[in-house]
Amino acid sequence: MGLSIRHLCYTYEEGFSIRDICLDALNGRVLGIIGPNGSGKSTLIQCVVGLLRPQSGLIRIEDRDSASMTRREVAQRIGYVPQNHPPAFPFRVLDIVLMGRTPYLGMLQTPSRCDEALAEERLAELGIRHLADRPYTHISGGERRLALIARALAQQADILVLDEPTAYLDFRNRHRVTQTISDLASQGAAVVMSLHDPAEALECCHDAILLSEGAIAAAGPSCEAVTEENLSRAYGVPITRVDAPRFLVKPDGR
Amino acid sequence: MRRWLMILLLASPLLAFPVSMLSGRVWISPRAVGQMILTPQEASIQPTLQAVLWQVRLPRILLALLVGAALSVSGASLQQVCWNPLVSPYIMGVSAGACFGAALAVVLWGGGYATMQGCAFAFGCIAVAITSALSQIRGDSSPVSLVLAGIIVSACFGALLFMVYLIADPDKVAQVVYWSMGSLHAASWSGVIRSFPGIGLGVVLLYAFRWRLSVLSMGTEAKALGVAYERERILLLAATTLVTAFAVSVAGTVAWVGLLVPHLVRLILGADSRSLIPASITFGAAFVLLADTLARTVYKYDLPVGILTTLIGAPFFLYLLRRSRTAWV
Repeated sequence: MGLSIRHLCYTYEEGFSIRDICLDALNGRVLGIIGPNGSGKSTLIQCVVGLLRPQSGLIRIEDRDSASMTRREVAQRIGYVPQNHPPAFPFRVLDIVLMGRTPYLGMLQTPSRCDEALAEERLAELGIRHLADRPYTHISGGERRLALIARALAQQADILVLDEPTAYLDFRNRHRVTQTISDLASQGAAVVMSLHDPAEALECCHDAILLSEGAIAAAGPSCEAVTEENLSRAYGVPITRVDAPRFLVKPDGR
Repeated sequence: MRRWLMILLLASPLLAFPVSMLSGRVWISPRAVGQMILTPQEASIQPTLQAVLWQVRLPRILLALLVGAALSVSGASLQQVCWNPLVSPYIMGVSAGACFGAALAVVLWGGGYATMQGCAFAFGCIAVAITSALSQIRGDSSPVSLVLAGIIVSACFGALLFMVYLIADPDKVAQVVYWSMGSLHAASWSGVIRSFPGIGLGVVLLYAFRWRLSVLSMGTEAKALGVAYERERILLLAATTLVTAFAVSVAGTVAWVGLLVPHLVRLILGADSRSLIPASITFGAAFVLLADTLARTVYKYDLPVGILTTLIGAPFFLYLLRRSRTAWV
């Protein structure tokens, strides 16, 4: 079950490529993908959710080869949270979340009352029910991220793929997002997310993969993969681990 | 409140219809109109009035409604499919391509409805294809590069249209020029009957896909929501081109309607295509009908309705561009 990738390769026309990526995302665990800018984190994520078609390699989603699945089937199994971007039109937040129901609708169907109730429930779970009728283009970056997570949850998928879900968030929102992610994993979801800050992989991931120039530089349980030595090699600068002053939301604080 | 506004927009053609029925150079009283519609066999009705109403006014009204619905729904759909609030059939060069195709059909083959519509559709498709290809030359197409590509394509087909004027039979030139400005003065029952199937088919298709149009406006991300992105986009682009081509074949380029109407509807009802698409269809129909009613009554000659819609639409586009700086880019 979960997600498993073997020897995945994707090459852009301009020449950059990710090569020979293997990973397993298991139910109940959170897998973090870290690496320098331009190391292929987003490319890998876009291959997983089907935005890019890998030239070679195998992606197995819940023990089925994704190449033999339709987009709809994939979308019923993988919920996707893209990096922030405002859409061209001022949709209501509720409409955005409703779009997560699309994989369960026929081509000519529109969402039902049931779908709407489900979408509202997802918003309530993330504590942003009050945003339902606000235009998505007029809410803050953190609220948008939460709305996109609500959309992914509306897909009712067992696998969640998130592209830098914590980037640019303030304390409160960052805490809400990471808390939601670990709750989902403990309920049995398989979570894959790319992270900007390697420290976060230690904090909120069971496993980690370190990418460097399109290839895996280190992989394993996060405490083993995210080490001074591995990071120094991947980022090309000497890196040391310090216990610098940091502020965190208390574990039980919402 | 939103509900009532929606109902108002959906009912707008029913409000515009009687206004247009009663307007014109020949005054026909509401009572006479009612009589002619309800009991056309009655002997007391003047045959000239009967002819004005049935052969001139009514087909023209129906055609205005069809053309308005076609251009507005195709504008609304194009904006969603291209995730770009700045486009319309006119701005993307579809109208110019279709107009050139239809004019070519008139000059080369005398211009029956079928040849005009076929040529308009073919060149409309070519225009869409070139515009999309040009906008992607420098990587991902941005809202502005799509508009620029549309300007280039429009300009080229505009030049080709002038070539068609030059090679046209002198007797026909005036007629073709007048038509291409966007006019409904030649409306007839056969025009209504020949335009209906294409416009009807396209409008029904776009309405049926209204939820998908919302999802497609998220861009490539729609793939991860289970949409067969490439195929559905091509189908919907073809449908918008079809309705535009049929509208252009019968009425020339009635410009700016496809931009103006969807934006007005969006301002009133919001972005959700489930209300945007049906309300654009009906409000667009009412808008062109009222514009054409104005065009045929305001001056001693019939004005091409395209001139009026441009005079209203162009300043509105400027307003959108000003807004876009903060909201969209």
